[in-house]
Amino acid sequence: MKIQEEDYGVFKQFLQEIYAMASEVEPFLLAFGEDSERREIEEKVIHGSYRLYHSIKGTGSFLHLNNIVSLAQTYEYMLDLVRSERLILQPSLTKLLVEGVNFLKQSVGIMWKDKSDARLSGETKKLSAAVMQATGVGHNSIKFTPSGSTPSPQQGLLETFVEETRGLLETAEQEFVLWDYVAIDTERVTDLCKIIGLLKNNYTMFDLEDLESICRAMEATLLRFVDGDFFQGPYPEQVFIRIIDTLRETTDRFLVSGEAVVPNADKHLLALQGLIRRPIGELLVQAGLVASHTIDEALEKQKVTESQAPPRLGEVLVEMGEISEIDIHHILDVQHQQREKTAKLNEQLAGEQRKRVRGEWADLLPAELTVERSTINKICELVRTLAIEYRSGEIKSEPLVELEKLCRTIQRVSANIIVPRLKRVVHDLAIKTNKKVFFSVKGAGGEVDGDVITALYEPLVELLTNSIEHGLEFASEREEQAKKAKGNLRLLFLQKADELWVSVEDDGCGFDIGQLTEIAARRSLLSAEKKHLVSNRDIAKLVIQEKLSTKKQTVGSSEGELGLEIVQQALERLQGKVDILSLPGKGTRVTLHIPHQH
Amino acid sequence: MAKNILLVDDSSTMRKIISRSLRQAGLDFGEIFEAGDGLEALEMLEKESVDIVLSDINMPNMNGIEFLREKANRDAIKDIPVFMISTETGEDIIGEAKSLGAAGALKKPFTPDKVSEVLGPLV
Repeated sequence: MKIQEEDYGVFKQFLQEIYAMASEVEPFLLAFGEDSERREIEEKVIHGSYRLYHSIKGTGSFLHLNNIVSLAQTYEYMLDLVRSERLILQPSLTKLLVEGVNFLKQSVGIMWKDKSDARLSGETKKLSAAVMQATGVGHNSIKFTPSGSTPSPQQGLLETFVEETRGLLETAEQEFVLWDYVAIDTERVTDLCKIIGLLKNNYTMFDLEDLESICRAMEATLLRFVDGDFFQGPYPEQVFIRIIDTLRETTDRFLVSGEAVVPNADKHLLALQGLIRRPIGELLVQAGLVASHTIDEALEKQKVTESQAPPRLGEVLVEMGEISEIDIHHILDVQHQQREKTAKLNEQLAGEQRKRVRGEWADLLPAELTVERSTINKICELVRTLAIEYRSGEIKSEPLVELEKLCRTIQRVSANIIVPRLKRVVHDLAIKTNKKVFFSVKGAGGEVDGDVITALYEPLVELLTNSIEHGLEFASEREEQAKKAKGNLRLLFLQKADELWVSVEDDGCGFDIGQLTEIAARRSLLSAEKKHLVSNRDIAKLVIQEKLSTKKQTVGSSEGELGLEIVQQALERLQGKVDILSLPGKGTRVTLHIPHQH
Repeated sequence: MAKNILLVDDSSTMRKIISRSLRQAGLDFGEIFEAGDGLEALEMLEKESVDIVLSDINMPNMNGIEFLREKANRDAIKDIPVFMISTETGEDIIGEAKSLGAAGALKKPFTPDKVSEVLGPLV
């Protein structure tokens, strides 16, 4: 992809920066090449080179310079290993660093002239391969160390790769999930292309052909959209999201087994190709029925027609005497068949995916926790104090209280960690139930106890599910009631002095209070005389506490009371309370009140 | 009132790109100040009225982590929120930044949407 004219200024500055940084590190590299004993120079070499490649990686990715970004990634990996002392800066590596600097200095001119780094593709690949070879991660030479033993440099590299790839997959997934809520414009899609491009580079580096070709196909499909083609089918993002799931599974498997064959890779590729509606002109040219310049002529003619509804391209071509009507019908058939085929394929792939949707997520919280050394020291000190006090028989409460407080601080996380998953759940469910949903999250930036947020995940899934399945109406029903076709679903986090409030709010049909009151009276939960006096809020509370339900509206998932049970259990564990406000026809808000642990 | 931003990155290109993303994010920003490393950033913070800092991690002289550490020691500026901008996907470095008081992180390359998602609540 070429640099846009509006970016020329930034691009030029970027190239000048590369040149300056490369020139800066070069003399140190040459000096170190001559005398590799000089530690103070080694420091400068490592630091200067790292900064050079790190900058290229950061800025270049914005400018879509995939070839040199990919090269910079490789060098950065190598330098990472050197910096963490898992690899020694041997003369062979120094030589590669010199080559890299020379290459970059020469490339600056080429890139400026071309306004792209496409011409560097071959050279960057060669150089990357040499760097990988030198770090011991050449083709097919990745070694897997059994867990427990000291990780080899290759294993470290592999972990970095998987971690980075997972991050990219998540970013891409979130962007696709958003497609349902925002207008997709070319700028968004271009940005997304960059992410997919980085992903592709990562897979290329490890020679994972299936994954690389799927990324390439995603990129190609997205670029066709950028160039003005249209997606066909109601939910193009579903195809992408499904593929992201597949990429994620395969990447994870690769880490464990070293094998990265994508099941149904060909079908995924076909599904991607099928996403773009192929214009009739393209199909006619492909079938050899007309020449492509004829199509251009016909398109021009189609444009100049002044009537309100321009004639179809086929009609223009028939009028021009280029093809017969039979040809047109034949091609329209082809177009139709392709659409059908794609739809069928998607159905099949979606079916296979559905089998594994729920419960597939790995642990919510990251496995490793970073804690400041001073905090750990403080904890150790407090434990020692307690031990001494215990032995002497007089325990004071202060160290214990402080210890508890410290433990709680280090376990705090942002509520945001569950948001991407919840967004995905809502997205999948909206499509499954054929509802239109606008989902927004507010206040998730604050920190909460790690175990609280983990405990809230399942109940929130249940409440959101309930809102989508039973609360929000179908688009047509909503329009009849003069509501917006898209239902609003909101998740709100609010930090109060003593409590965390989490609300799930929809603007759907609300509870059928009349019917619920009747049922409550029948089950003797309300006395007959009191039943006219109770508020909507009281009834809604009975729904949770007494599992009161009509067939139409339950709290909990489609599994009915099971979902309710999950909410109840979580509340008991967290010593929380629930508050429900439901207005018939207006919507429902369920708020969970979770006390802060003191 | 529109918030003033300080961008800390050793690459002036990067600073330009970030400030463009900020504008594209459609958020209401006041002035955008720039600094080339942690030391410059500290000076700028003492001098100008800055509401939000966006800082790179890898920088010469004083890197993003050292910057956070030093900033935490200065009462006048210690409460200004800092968001880390980085290509470091290693959770540990971001985690370290957060444990030192960083308010959040943006991973390069980011989209204007990501910017408004992260900074939106503050602006």
